Amino acid sequence: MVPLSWYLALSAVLFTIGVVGVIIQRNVIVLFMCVELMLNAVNLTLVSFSRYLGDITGQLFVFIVMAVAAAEAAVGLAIIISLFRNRETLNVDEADLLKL
Amino acid sequence: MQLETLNLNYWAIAPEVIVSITAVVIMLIDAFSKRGAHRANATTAMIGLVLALISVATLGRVGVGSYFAGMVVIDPIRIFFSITILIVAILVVLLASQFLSDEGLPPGEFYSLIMFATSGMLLLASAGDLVTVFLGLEIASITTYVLAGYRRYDIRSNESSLKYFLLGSFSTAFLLYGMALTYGATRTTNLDGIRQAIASGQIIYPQLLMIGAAMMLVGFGFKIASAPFHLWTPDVYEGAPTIVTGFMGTGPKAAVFAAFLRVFVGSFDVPVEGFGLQLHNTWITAIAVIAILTMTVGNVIALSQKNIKRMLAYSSIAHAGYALVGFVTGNFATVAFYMLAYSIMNIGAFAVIQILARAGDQKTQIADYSGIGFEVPGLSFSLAVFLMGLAGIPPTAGFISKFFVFTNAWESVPALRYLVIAAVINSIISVYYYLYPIVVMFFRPLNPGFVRPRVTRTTALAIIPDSARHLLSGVDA
Amino acid sequence: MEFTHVLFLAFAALAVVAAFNIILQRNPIYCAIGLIVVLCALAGLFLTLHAQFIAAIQIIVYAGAIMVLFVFVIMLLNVREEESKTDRQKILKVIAVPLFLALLAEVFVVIRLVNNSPPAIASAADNTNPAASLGSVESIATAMFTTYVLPFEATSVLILMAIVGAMLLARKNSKDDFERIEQALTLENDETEQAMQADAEKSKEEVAA
Repeated sequence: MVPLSWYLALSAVLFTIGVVGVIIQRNVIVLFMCVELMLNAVNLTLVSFSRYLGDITGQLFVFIVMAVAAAEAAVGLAIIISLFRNRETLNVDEADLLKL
Repeated sequence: MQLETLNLNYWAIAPEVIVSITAVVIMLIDAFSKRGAHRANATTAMIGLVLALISVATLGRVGVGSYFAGMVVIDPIRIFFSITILIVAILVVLLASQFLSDEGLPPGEFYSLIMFATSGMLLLASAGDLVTVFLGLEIASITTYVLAGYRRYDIRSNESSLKYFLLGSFSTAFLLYGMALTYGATRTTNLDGIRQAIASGQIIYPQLLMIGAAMMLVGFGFKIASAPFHLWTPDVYEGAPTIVTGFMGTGPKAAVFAAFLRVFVGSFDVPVEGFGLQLHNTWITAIAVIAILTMTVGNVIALSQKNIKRMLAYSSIAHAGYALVGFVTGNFATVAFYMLAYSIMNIGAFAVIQILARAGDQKTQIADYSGIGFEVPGLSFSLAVFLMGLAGIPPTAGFISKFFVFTNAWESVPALRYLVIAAVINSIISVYYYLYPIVVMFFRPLNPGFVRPRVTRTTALAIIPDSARHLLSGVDA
Repeated sequence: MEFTHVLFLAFAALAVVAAFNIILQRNPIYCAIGLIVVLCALAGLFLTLHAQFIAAIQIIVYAGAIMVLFVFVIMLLNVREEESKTDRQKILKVIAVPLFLALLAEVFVVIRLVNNSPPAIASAADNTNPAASLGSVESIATAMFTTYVLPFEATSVLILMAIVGAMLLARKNSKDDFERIEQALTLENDETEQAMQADAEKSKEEVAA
């Protein structure tokens, strides 16, 4: 039987790598990927507690977290697209709007 | 599990359901109506919100307790905070129609997103379980990320929404890790269950609970923009459209305070001998430190701001600090009243700024306000009232709410009297930067090229009763 | 060393190496691939924890939908490799050693914290339905539609809102949008212009008088 502490240690390590990634990354998409890594570390914690405590709540929480992560990813990438679109295509039409 | 034990009483979630259905109805109306049909959307939104307010009033009749297998609870906190949230939403809906038609932004999505955000905040205020806290928080937050970027052509708005999104998802990850550790230590995610586990001492891994509580504190700290987690908040507030800034500085903050209260004061605050007492002392000290930092940082940096939106952003940070002072006493009522008064003042101030800043937020420097005092007396007097309320000058409701919080903290927790002293000193310092725009408005010469802005009836409807109520409620409270 | 230990160490090593890959790579597509590897390694770990359903939806939803969305967006925005190397190297050198020590310390702390009082693993049977083992679809479904029915329904609101929000932000500006915005802003501009002209005339009159 793999001890519970091994799973918790692994998820703590993954969480920390995610935090460091968020702090040092400059590419905003990769930054968001590091946040997803943090969420996955939490998922691992929840599932391992669920198994070792004999309670289904942990796995259900993971289900909800995954749905939320999906929604967050959709919105986050839409925000990034919106930002890039503004920066990249400063054609004549939009330059007028921004001047006012 | 029998279905009866789940207590599936739909009246218990009536406000959230009504607001969500309103959101969907608005989307349908918007899909089938002509361009620029703001009025139908706004009317539907108002009807939905008023119905939700009525249903909150009937919650008391449903009975205090927990419903849906402990996921939602009905208690006085929920009713009070729900009323606050719905009032914020009503004000924003009133103010939005001018904003949307001035700038040519799509109305249907705006109203439906405001409705979705409101339903998330209501769910957050009613949470009885960590899962519901997480879900309500995410619904409210993600909607606000979108709203912050509503002006798609403006790069400040894009940046604001990006920073808010990154900050929000980072803090959600911390909060979630704290929730996971708490679950692991107590084998339940129900807030009541956690409280019982701590009270009876049956915690499986006490140190994990401590670390879990710490991480949840960090997560919540980010969400209410307290120091030292406040770094990106002023940028977010400055870049977003002013109405949205007013919304995100008040509604989600109040709802997060409700959940924060429930989790920390309701669940973790069990001063029994042994681990409970240790946890209690630790987090009270932590919140006291955060409160002092927040107040001080917010006030000191606000002193030097030239942009009025940024100044109000730092003032929001400082106000979160004052509210945290009310936290440590464990008295919900003072914090709830504080959040209500603060929400109304803040939205009022941002509403006036929205009008004066013109379409596209062109004029947001304090210097732009010079001399307009008697040109647009309605707006400038309202702004003056709101700023005085935020500063806590009697007889406004802002003063009364601060008074309640501080006297309650002074009397009930003698060990933390230094907190109240720091808060009062900070309030006095803050009077300077709140009065400065008033001075600029009334005692400086007028800028050339000043155009009196249009104020529609609905906007006036939102601002004037606010300021009047604000002055008067101080008197009769 | 049992087989389960070996499995755990293999998946764990894979996850950690891929995680370092995410934060150290310069090309975003390689970072995305790193995240996919992490997700698959975690799915393997979920399987060792007898959480079959969660492992399956991790692959299907997370690695199969969310990461595909990421890759689409990276391709759409044509994000390139980072050009400057020097900044990154310095930051990494400063962070690398403290990070490594922090990670080691974490591992030891967690192992010590948790090993002190391991609870007996409750029987693998689920609380409500003894016939279904914990982690099977049946146990999750039972809990989802009885205890957790409210979060389940709230999730649908969340997803609806995310769809509305994402489509609002990411759609292309139609000509109608441009026209409306320009109309609204030029109206303001006209008013300001008129007011400035009026002011200029007034001041001219004052000077003349």
